[in-house]
Amino acid sequence: MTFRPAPARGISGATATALDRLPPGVLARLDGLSRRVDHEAGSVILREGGDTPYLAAVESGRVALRLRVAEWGDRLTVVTVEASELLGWSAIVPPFRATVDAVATEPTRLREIDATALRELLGTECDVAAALLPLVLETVTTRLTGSWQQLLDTFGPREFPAW
Amino acid sequence: MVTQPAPTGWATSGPDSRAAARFLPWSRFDELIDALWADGRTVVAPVVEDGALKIAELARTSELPFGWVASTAPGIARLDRRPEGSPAAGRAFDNGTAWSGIKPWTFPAKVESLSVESGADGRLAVRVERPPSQPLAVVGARACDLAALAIHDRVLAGGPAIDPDYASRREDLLVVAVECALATSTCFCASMGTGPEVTSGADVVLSELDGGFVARADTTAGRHLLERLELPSAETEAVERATRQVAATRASMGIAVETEGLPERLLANLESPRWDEIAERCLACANCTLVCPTCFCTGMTVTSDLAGRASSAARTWDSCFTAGFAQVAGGGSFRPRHRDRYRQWLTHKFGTWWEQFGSSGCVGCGRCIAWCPVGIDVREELAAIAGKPLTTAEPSVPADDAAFAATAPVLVPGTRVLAIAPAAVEPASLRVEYVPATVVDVHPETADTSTLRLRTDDPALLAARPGQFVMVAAPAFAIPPISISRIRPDGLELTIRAAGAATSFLARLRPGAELALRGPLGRPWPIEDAEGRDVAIVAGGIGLAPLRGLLDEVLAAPDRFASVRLYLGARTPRDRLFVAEIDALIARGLDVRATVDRAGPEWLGRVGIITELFRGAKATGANVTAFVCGPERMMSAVVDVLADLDVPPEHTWLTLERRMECGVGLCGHCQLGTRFVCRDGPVFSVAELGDDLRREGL
Repeated sequence: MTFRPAPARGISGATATALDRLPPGVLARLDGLSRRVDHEAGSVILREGGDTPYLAAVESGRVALRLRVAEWGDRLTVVTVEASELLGWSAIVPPFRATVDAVATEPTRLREIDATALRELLGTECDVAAALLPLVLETVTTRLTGSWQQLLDTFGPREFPAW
Repeated sequence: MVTQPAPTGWATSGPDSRAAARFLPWSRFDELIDALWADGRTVVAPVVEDGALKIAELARTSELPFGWVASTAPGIARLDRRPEGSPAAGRAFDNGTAWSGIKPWTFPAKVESLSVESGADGRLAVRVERPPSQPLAVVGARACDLAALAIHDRVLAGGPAIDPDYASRREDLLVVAVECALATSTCFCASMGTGPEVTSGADVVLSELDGGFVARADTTAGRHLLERLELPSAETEAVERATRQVAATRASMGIAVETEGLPERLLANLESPRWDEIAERCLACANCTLVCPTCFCTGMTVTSDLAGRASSAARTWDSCFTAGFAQVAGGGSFRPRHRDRYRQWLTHKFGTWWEQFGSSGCVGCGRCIAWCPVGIDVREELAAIAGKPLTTAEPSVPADDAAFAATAPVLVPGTRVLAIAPAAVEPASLRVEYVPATVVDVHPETADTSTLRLRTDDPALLAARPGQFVMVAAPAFAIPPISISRIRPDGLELTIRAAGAATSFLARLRPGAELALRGPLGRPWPIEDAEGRDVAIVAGGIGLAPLRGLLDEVLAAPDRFASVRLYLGARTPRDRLFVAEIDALIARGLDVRATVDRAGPEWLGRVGIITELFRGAKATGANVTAFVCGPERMMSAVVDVLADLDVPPEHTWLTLERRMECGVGLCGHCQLGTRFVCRDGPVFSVAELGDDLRREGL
């Protein structure tokens, strides 16, 4: 007995990376700035407060974005990033520091675009900026709205006045 | 504007002898009351109490309010003596409406409705109270009171569910109505098409003249009553005076309400700034709902003995103006602001009532205006919100009313009765009896959630469908609605999160405990809608419980469906439900995509809100039927994502949470627009819900 849907049935997931949505010309220019890197499970990809050395498209695997919560003596995973998503938007947003720890929770392959070169390209190539920035904003927006949902859960009203 | 001709039931002769008028002189009025008493009836009539007119038990006819006259204005209700020697000083009923109407006698503010007792052997006894039929006679009911009674007949006894207490009290009620000879400044029954002429609902109709009454019988019981009195025929002149008198009352009615298209106009203005203005004045004191003769919302008040072995539940009047009315488990309220509650009241009364019950919920008695401590005039608010100016023109009735009138049974030639809307649900699904069920296993799911396996041999419960719920009674606690999480050959499973006192008690039960269940209730998941289609089941947190039975049924016959996918969200990894079951299903090949909102470092699965599970998906959902349950905010976000993926709204199904106290659409708590969630849902399609899904404060 199988419950698996046939390919492309129902709500089918995309397997492409986020960058594959860019026009071929833009993608070609980014190719020159990028490299594929494999991260082992448990490896720390970004450090909260540290420089963000690249903007990356996750090709496979899973990366946990974690906040340090000192009084819990632990780190809290607030979101995970997977294939078809971007990692490291802070590479192109001042002050270019990571806002979370990014830790691979399973073997993960990233396509990393060098931050310095990318910022320079964005400053000079309007068509690259026009194509890439919406993708980055989409990522930020998704994280933002996800955070709002979590805030509702954390701080939502629990009691109402009796009258 | 549709102008309603002034109806009258008065006639001196004609083919229908019921309409033939008699004359009851004041000197023989006692004979009428004596005849009612002789039949063993309690007789209630208007009397003066605490400076106001109230319908109370009559001990002698001298208690009637002879010579009193009411005057009203927004926020003002006065009762004064008529000057000695004035023409109407000797009249008993020429004085305006009683503040209470007759509702306290047919639908008392508090009645015992249920008792739950645990015996020494642990067996549970649940008794639904049904008062014995008590013969009652109401003397002095007004046209608006009778219209309200007809509305209550529809709401409380017209099905699909029937209030047993109301039905019992209504069984042997005899009504002697009096046509109004006085309209106070807050009366607007002519606008609402309910008066001042008494055209239906009374057994005997009186018109008070100087020296006596013109009387007619409108029913067999009324005819028998008048025949016993052997009254003479009324003089033609007296009948004409009665007709002119009530016509003059109609003509003297002041501010009118433009009812044509009112429901549509009102519901088109749900975001009017006027709601905020009213909220500045409205105290949410609930006076308007307490004096309203049609308001029927009730709550359950449970009292228990100290040992917690026996308790009783009383059905008490409640009001949609109180903060707790729309409050749900966990403390949230769907109508936290005064504006939400006033809007709910007004739009229900004048708008959604039509679709639910086939009539307006307002009879134009004006009590809500006079007894509002800050003088909010509903006529003024309707004109301001629904976009038509105040008028003093001829009264009208909604255009739809003409259609109802054409098909309604005619009691008196030229009159109409309030229309009866068809029942929305088959009566068989609305059960009022409780049956026992024994806890045979308790499985802790999370720190605050347990699954109870209950054994019962009740055929109705065993025939429950996924998505339905049961009311769960145990001594000393409120009776919560609980979704059925699994239907077994020998019973049910209920997965209960400890969100309040009752659910905390239930979630901590041990095997051997006995409960009483009422149900199954509500509309199930329409599994047949998914046949041949791709099934997407989307659950957030405890929302997986009502979907578990659906999942069981879908996976029992997967060939009926093109594919099955399960999308799961939970607050944290420790809040996931049915973990072992889900893991087993994954091992069997079910496509399960899961996420949690936050997690510690030990969690290696996905973290993020549930909509992220659909991230990057292609818009290939046209053949998908989705079943969604979770917090309303989560469902709203999922609905957006599914729409982006082309999942049709008519194939996207949700189960809603609202405060459900009665489970059968009688208490009013779970109203959402034109629906009662317990009775018409809790499962709805997104297409059915329309804008109501996201409407704030609804």
